[in-house]
Amino acid sequence: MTAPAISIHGLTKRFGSFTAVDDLTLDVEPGSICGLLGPNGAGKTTTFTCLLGFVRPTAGTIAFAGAPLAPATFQTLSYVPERATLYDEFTIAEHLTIYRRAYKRYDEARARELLAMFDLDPRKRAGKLSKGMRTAVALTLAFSIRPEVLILDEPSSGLDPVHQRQVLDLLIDAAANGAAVLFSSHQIGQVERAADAVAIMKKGKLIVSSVIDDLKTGEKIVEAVFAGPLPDLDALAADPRIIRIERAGSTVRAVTREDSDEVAQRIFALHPKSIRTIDLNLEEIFMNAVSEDRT
Amino acid sequence: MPAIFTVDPRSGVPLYLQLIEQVKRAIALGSLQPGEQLPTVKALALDLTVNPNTVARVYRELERDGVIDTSPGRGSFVRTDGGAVEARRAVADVAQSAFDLAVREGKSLGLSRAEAHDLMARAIARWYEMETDA
Amino acid sequence: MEYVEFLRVRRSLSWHLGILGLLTLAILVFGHHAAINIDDGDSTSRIASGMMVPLMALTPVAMFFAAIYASTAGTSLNREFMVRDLAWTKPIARNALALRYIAVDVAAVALVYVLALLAIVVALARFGVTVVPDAEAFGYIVFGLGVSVMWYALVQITTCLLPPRGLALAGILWPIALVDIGLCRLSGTTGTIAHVFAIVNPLAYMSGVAFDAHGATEKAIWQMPADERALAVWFFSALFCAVAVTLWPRREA
Repeated sequence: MTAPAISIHGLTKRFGSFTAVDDLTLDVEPGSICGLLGPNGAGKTTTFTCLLGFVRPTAGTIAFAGAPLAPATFQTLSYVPERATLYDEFTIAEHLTIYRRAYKRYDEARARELLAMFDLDPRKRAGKLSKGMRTAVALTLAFSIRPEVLILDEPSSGLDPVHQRQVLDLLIDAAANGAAVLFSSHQIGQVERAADAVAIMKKGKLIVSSVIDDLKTGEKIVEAVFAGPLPDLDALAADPRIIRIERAGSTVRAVTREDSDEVAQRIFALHPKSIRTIDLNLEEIFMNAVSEDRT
Repeated sequence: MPAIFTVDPRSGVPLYLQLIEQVKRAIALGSLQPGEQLPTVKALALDLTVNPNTVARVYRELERDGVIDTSPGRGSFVRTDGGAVEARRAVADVAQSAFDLAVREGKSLGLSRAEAHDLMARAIARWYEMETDA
Repeated sequence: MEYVEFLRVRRSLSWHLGILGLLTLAILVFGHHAAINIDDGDSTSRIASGMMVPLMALTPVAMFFAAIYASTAGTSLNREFMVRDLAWTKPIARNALALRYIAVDVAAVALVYVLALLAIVVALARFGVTVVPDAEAFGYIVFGLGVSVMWYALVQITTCLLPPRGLALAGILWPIALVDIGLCRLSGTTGTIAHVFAIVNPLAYMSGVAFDAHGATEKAIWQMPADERALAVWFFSALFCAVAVTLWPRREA
């Protein structure tokens, strides 16, 4: 059993009295793409800075393929921050040279290929690029070293939809070649497409961590409309397979955690006028998760 | 490149289930022939822009259901024996769900049994009549 | 060698050396056989054609040029911290990285220093003045370079210790150092405190060296033999750089 490409265990980071990350445990396996979702301030960026060693965690351990972070780890690890950081005074071509000299696995052909894909002119100075182009350069550099671990913070910001799709293709290609990808995004649709796993953070805590398909299989809404007064739902609410129950007039909605069919049968036994099961996509699951207190 | 699959990641239906159904449908309808090779996991993932692990899961389940055969190094192929049977069965499942949904919908709208039958007959007449005409 | 720093230094050197070159050129082209007065506050020496000047007399000017360059070069670690997303994700240990930057920077400071010396020699030759290397020249050259490097190291360590205002601090270190020199002339508590600061003030080892026909007269804050002074400035240079190399990797945003 090989160690996960990224293992985070019990990560906690406090800034004074403010807890940015609270006991986060998350693994990302090689070949997997994990999307990190969460409202602003949920602790995603802090998690990344802890992962990369920019900030010392208050508690917890971080390992890459079983080993702690070391300079050599960066031979096969790429990071793309939210606001692409570049050497403003250097040209794109000079950035490539810097990478060629620093990284063993740098692939010039790949880098040129990516520059062409993003329509970047290597002679341009980084300081003169638009936000989207800066992101494109950062992505080019990140992928040019053929990494085994990719950590990206909002990799699509500033990119037009065509390039955004290309970024997803790059991530999928990397994962298909065995890389582990951890990326945060506000574009839930992108995570839904490219990621197989999702981790949702809220106020520093990890509230959901699951394979996306399993999440969609389990989390559904069973909606029942009753003629007349609503039956007693307390017993139902105690069912561990139900996350919560919503009432609106004569309609009852049970948000299930798993086994929605069996829950539906249970509700059917209460003789509703009509009953149906509603599938939830990731955006709806996400909204549910962050808008209420999950246990 | 055989049948082109479409999946909707925004749907609440898990991607892998969608794709499994798509493959079975393609086999049942003949757009994927017995013995035909399926694209590699990587190629299909890139083609659809979906996660490779999801595609890998699809292929695993299809193999478990007896629809395809995967041999390492050679690839994944539609089974020449019984693959189509399972595919048709799966397609029948999908159709059954659709009928179930329609009947349940009718019931919740207050249709009587006789009215439900009537509507169903009318739908069948409309769609299958076109066939006999042609 | 750290390629990033090499690229940076190449750019900044072009500027500084270009200006130095232009100045020298201007003197060569527009200078006449006029006399140059050197006024250090106590006496005035005239430089005229046919005169011989000891090499060590040129070191303060060269040191001045090099120290100006050192001020900008000394912000390099701070600047790298600003792009730590790039710099700290390289497969090199951070302190090794810092050491490499410093190596490139110090080499550049030395280059500016040597070229400045050469420029002065050339400029003086224009006026028919010959520069004579004497026995103590080498010691003073090494000392002069040491002051420039100490200045570099001082800027480096200041920007490391007081991160966010780093670059601005590099600018006001000059006035602070000069004021400190002035305050050293006072007596009492102020003078004592000024002297404490003067321990790490590169200018304190330099100020007020008067050269005349009889040699050098010491008016530095720290009255020490030339060898000891050279040792002192290089010691502090190494110390500050070592501290910077140790502290810089530990910075947190």
